[in-house]
Amino acid sequence: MSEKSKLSIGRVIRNDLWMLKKISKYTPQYIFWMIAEGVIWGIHHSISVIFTQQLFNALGRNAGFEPTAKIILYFAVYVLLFWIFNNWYWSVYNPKIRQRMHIELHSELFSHAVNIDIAKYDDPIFYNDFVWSMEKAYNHANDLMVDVGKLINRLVASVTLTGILFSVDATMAIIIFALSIFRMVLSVFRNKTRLKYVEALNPLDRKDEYIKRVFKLPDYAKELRITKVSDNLTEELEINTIQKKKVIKKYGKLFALFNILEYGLSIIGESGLIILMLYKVMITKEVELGGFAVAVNACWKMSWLLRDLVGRSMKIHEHGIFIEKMIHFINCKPTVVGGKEKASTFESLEIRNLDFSYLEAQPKNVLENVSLKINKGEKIAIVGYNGAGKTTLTKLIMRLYDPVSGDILYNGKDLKEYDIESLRQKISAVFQDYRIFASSLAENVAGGGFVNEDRQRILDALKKSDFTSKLETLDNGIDTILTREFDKTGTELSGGEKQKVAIARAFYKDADLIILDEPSSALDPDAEYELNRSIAEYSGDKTVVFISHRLSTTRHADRIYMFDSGRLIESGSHEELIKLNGKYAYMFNLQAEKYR
Amino acid sequence: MAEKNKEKKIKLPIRKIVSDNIFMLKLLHKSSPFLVASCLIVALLDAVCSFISDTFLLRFALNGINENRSFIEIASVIAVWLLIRLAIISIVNLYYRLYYDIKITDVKKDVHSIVYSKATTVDLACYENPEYYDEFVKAIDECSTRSESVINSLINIVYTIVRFATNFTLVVIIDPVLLIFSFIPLVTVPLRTKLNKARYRKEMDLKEENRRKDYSRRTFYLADYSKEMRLTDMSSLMLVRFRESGAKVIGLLHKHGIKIGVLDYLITVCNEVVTTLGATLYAVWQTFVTGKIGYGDCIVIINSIENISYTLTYTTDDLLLFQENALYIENLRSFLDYAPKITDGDKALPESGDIVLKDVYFKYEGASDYTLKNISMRFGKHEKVAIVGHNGAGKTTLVKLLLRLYDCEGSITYGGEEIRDLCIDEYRNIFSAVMQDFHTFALTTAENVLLRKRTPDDDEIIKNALQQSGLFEKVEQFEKGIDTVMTKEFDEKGELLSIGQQQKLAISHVYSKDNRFVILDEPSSALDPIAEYEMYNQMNDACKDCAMVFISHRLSSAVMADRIYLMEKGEISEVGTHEELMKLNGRYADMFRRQAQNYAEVDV
Repeated sequence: MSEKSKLSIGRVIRNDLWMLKKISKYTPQYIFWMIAEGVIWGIHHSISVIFTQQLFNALGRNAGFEPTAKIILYFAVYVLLFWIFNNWYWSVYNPKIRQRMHIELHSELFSHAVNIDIAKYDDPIFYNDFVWSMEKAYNHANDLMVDVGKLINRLVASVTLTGILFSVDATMAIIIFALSIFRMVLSVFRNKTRLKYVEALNPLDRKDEYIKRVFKLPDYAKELRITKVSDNLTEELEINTIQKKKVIKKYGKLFALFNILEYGLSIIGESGLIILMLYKVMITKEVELGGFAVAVNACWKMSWLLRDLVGRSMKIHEHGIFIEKMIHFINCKPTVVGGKEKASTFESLEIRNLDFSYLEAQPKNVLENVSLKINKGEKIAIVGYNGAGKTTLTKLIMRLYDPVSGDILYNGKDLKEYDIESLRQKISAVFQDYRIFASSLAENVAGGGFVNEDRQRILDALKKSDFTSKLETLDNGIDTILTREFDKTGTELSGGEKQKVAIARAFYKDADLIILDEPSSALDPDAEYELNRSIAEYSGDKTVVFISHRLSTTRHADRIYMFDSGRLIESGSHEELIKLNGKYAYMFNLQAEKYR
Repeated sequence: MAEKNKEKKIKLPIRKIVSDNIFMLKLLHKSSPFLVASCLIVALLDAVCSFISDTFLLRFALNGINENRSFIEIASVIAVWLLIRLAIISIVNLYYRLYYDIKITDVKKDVHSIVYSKATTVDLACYENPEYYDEFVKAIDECSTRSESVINSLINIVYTIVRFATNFTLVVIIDPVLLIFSFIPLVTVPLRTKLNKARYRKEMDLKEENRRKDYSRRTFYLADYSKEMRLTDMSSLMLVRFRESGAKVIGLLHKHGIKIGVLDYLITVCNEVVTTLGATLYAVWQTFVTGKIGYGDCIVIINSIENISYTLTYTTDDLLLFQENALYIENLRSFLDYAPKITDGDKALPESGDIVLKDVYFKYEGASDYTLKNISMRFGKHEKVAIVGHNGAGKTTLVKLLLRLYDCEGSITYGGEEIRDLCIDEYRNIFSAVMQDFHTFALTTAENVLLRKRTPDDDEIIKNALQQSGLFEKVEQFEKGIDTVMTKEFDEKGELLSIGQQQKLAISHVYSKDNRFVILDEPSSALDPIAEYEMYNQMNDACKDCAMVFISHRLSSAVMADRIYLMEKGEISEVGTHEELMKLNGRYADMFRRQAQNYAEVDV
């Protein structure tokens, strides 16, 4: 927070303007009506003051019933019209235009989101900004609109009001103005103190929230009962409360002082003003009764307007600081961009002297000097323990990332020369952390664009991934809605079933190269083994790459690549590697030992 | 129809509302005796002061002009009142900032402590009952905000009553006919109810589509989905879904917006035009035509009518807040009143002994089938027992029964005593358990090992425990050693551990205690085979003098156990040592061979 508030004022204003420009691109009408509403409301504030003045003048002059009644009636008509506008705008128009802006803003964010490098997800600063854009950008954009509208409103109101005050009495106008400025300055200080106060409380509040969460969530329920850790937590709560009270006391003194100063001086000013106006009404008779009423009425209105003016400006400043995040996100250009060439049928994949690390800043390579080749029709296994770099390799092949150095050749040509879409059509990967979408089974297999003619292909894909028996139990077949996200009757699949759907995706795509990243640890080793065998069988002459940390499940591969801490250390068939009696053989023996 | 039922459900009888609010006030009073009383006095002072300043003084000045009183007289009254007001404002501000804010912090903490200590005693089964869990979450989330809200509503209502009463009296004194105008806002009450309902309905109608939109949005930025969104065609589907829902939302907003706008308009017009301007017109008529009131009073009346109409309009909101608070307090009370079904017995804890299960049956609340059936087992006081079986066989449920997190049918005894007859805390204390879903708490490393309050003598214990679990070297690298706070939850300098290290930390807890029974539920899931092997060796050494129960679906780890129970579909299907079970040549042997098969040729 403190770091961000270092942005220069100019930068902040530019950010705000950037956002307003975006909004005017999404929904130009919104900008127009925001300004119009601000001006109308601003004038409205002054019109009510003028009405009070006229009414009191009429009373003071003893103008008689009819002229006075006329003033009231005119004002009544005005009020009726004003509220029609106000209610139309806030109840009908504004909610709709906001929503429209929400849709357009997010559509732009979404299309940008799927284009940025996946590597960016690992950059915490960028990812933070990304998530912020997706979650909060709209709120700040809309609040910016509201606050700018109100700012216009306050400006128009305070300017017109000042005019009215001067037309009544210059001394009064100056006193009121001075008082308002004084309160405005105080409120700037108070807001600053408040920010510090909130900042001081923030870590303490977070601790409170954490303790609350531990007591609330079912995850922790067992530990709370079988250990005494709840004592530690309540102790933390006590300590935290004492610290909180210290902060509250420290700032409480300041706030009390601010308030007393502000209210005290305002009261003195107001009372003085009333005495002055009484003097002018009663003794010098410079001012009419209406002027007296304006003084009382305008005094608090003016200071309220100016204080709010400050409040809004601060908020607009704050929006500008936050909007920086969205600008950062939108301006990020993808570096993984495709070439022109369409990928042809898979023949071979060759990796040469490949180095890779996730963060440029991090010197430790996830993959180091890896070279290997995969030919059409082969069943390849890539094995090694967690952190060996197996999954990373898959991601590189899919061009989710680009290597730091070295080459990946698809059919003898650099991966970067191919159009990404066409390349990803040829390769299909089932990841460890596959996701099921809250959508129909068919859509989960085929994606969004499927048409009726594709139904048979979807069924075939599900059959190959051994999902058929489950499919038979589903009433709506492939139109069954998955997950209970939106549909209470939706079907929740088990871990194994989800995986089969994910595998069906790969079959549906009819890709030439299928990469099967290791299944979740929930799957027993025997089940994993069975799965690998059945996939090898169904894939026919397609090329398949199995990835696993269980050496037992991939024994039948044509060739095994053994990885250790990012390096390819051994390769060959199972028998060859055992004969080699290296690391693979050692690991395999270790895992097998307990079964002897 | 269903909607109507729901609306009915949220209405409480007035007696309940009163008693709930009083319940909370009593709670507050107990935690901070003078808070409530002092609050009311200060609110009263504040309200009276503002009436005198805004209304009474205005009347005095205007009538003074009208009646040609001397300027000095009026000015000096205003000046004197100014001094009084300054004093009152100082008192009020000092009170709120330096007394109230601090006391309320204490009150919130006390209320939380009450709720938290209750939370640890409710039955685990409550977490699985959505209705009860909902109540539980609401109680924890809302208890402190509601305690403050009850006081605030009370202050509000005092303020409103004073404001209403004083203005009302003034109007009655000047011209009772004007009261007709002040009661016009009551006409709008049904309109307001309608408006609230329309708003509620709008929210309800929008909920579904907004949820859909949110879901689509999540798929675009959560890292989990990032690969699928790039590699499959899902992104276009999600975008289309998003826009479709958005269009529906706009339609709904239009429909509801018009209704809400019209209702709101009628209410505003009723207040602003009919009441305020109507009363003004009447007062002006009385001034000019009948001459009954002077213009000073005329102005004051206009002001007062506005005040009365305002209070009448908004007291309903104030009162609704009491009702809303009552709903949450009702929830809190029913949470606090919950009597756990798993209760303490009065027998003394046996010095030592075996745990014996006999004919145990168990099913989760609301489930139609038994999770555990006909279970009889024995855990000897120095035995190493393995429970193996596939996922879903009921292994973890069995552990929960052993820890008496649930009660079951049949009998479980410890040292010959039914565990129901023992004090729960004492009984649970004989165990150290590492659960499948262990957690690292945002406390210091030391506290995470101990999972209890730390005393100065504990340092040695902690170090030993960490050494045994193999985490000591890692902890020594931390700047603050065992005092380092774990996770970055609220300490930027906190340390993050990998899953494997977290598991080791959880296992350290076992070494920090003087155990009679150690339970390990899939303790090696995040460890690689070598670390797993070491962990078992170490644990076996540490558990020489106590019993050990471990659970796994990897049969290889069961070989060294004194006894193995194979569980299938909630039942024990085979019992014996590894050799016995292999000889038996049943399901266990079959499973073992299948798992071993892939390694078989290494033997050759």
